[in-house]
Amino acid sequence: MTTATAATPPASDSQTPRKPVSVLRQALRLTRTEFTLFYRYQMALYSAALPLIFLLPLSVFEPYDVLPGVDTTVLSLTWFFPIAALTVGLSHVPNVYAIRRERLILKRLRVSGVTPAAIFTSTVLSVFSVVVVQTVLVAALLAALKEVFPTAPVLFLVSLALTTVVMVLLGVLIANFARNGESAQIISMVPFFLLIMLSGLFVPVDLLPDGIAMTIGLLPMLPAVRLAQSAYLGYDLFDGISNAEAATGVDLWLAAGPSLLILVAWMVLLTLLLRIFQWDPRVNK
Amino acid sequence: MNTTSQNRSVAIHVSDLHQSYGSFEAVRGVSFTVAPGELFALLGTNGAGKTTTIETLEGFRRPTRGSVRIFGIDPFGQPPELRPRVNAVLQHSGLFEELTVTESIELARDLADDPMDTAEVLEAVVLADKARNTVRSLSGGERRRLDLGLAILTRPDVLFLDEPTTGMDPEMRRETWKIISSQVARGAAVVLTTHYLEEAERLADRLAIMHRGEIRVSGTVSEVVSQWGDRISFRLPSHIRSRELPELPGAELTIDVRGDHQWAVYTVTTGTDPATRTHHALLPLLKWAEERSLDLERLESRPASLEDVFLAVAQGDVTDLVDL
Ligand SMILES: Nc1ncnc2c1ncn2[C@@H]1O[C@H](COP(=O)(O)OP(=O)(O)OP(=O)(O)O)[C@@H](O)[C@H]1O
Ligand SMILES: [Mg+2]
Repeated sequence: MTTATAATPPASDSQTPRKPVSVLRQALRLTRTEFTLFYRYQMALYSAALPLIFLLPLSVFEPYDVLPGVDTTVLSLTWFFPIAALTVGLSHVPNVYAIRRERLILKRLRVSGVTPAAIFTSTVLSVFSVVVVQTVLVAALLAALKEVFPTAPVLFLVSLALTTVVMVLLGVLIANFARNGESAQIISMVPFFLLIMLSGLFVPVDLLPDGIAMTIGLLPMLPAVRLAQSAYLGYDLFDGISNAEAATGVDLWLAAGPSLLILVAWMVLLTLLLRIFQWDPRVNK
Repeated sequence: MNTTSQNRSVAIHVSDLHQSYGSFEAVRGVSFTVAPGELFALLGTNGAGKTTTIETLEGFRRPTRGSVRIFGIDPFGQPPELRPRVNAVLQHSGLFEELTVTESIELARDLADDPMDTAEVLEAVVLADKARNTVRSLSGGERRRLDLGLAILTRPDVLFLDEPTTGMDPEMRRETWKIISSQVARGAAVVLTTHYLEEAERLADRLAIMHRGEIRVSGTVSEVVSQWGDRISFRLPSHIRSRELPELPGAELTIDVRGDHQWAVYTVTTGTDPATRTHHALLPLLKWAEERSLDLERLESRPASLEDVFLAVAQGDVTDLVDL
């Protein structure tokens, strides 16, 4: 073992006192840059527009009523809100994180004093902005075509925000296991299709055996869809369409409680798991 | 040395650092310290473990054995006490390609506490005329300079520079040396890796040469070089065979073949006084030549260069660790 000892201390070793910059300030600043980049990379714009393709099949089928004032078109359009968060969260986020890690952009940010919390928060904020824009478009469509307006807007926004956080964190976690942008996209396909299939529209969860239905209900997407639809339409849809009852105000919030809890639990779990996120592409790869 | 005085005079403390990738040990027992206002150069062959050592100091890896401390704090995971005080130029730069030079600097400024002015940074790294260009359009050397600008704008107390001048032309390299020196003068503790030995000679207060995960030689430039010995060499006269050459006090003889000629090379390593040892070795050589009426062609005596030491380390000649 070789030791190289320090020379005499220099005359001035008084260090300037430095405050760490707050997480929020860093997060907001990074979000601003995110918008600049979003605008300059057409790919990102494309990925923001991607969820809208889920609206195409709507024009093909003849709608019929499932509940008073709710036909299949309305149900699909309200299904779309959390799907927007899922699509941007699982298609854009893993790709961007894998690429930025590979190009050492994330490492560069970390080594210059940016916290993981600020980086993750900026992604949540920018993805949420995109989701909000899509939400406004679809809400306008619902109002124009069907004269349907959100019944419980606060609950609706809270659940949409929670869904976005969960999907972004999941996207970052997926990126952690990918070597590069391409593999991130391939890996994220599996949870993406799994979650979309089990989001209530394609597989009739009500008709499945209890055990399986309950397991699906513990995954984040079914609670997210039911929260969005219930809050938007003013029905308690948490036990499925067949058991739906009109609900508003406190009743609706109480009915929403378990689903909100499931999303919060996912958020906490994923936040804890993200402590293992590797910022340096060479580590363990 | 008690802990308080150690903390005051030591910014970076690396002790018996080991770092493995699976079963491959990339760093094998490296130790060194760096004081505030001091530049420590980490030299070595490709794959010697320099970047791995720096990445550990930057807090991206936990040592498999041994410890690293910055101002007495474990840097793993970039704790908040250290975060604003450390910055780095990575071996490869990670910048947002679509931002302009000014936008990149402004982003870095807004993410830091009490940064340098944008104009000041642009001037320091000589990029004022590229301010509106995108990062994507910059040349390799310009990117390197922007990277350095982003690292110094937070006025860090500890600065890691992993091959900061790679890809720069000689003039820009000299400009960059000035920037680095000013950081040291400001009181920053700097760890620099480089493959340009002249750079280390110019900038380093102390240096270490690594090979295969270990520090093989370390000390100040003059310590490293003088401990390596002075060289006396001349073209071997054609009618003299090597075993006829005299033994010189404190010197070892090797025969080099360069072109059509053989050269006698004496390395003078031992001697009571390093300042006069070559004088004492030369005297008997000249006397020997005079007795045989030989004119020693191209006779030369010079101290070893850092390059001599580096090459010896790289060829694995330095197997005993040299401690100064
Ligand atoms: N993730 C990894 N898995 C396996 N080996 C690795 C990994 N990362 C680095 N290494 C090996 O560790 C050794 C040290 O690498 P390091 O980058 O620290 O070298 P270096 O001294 O910086 O070299 P250079 O001068 O070429 O930059 C090399 O042999 C490298 O191949
Ligand atoms: Mg390296």
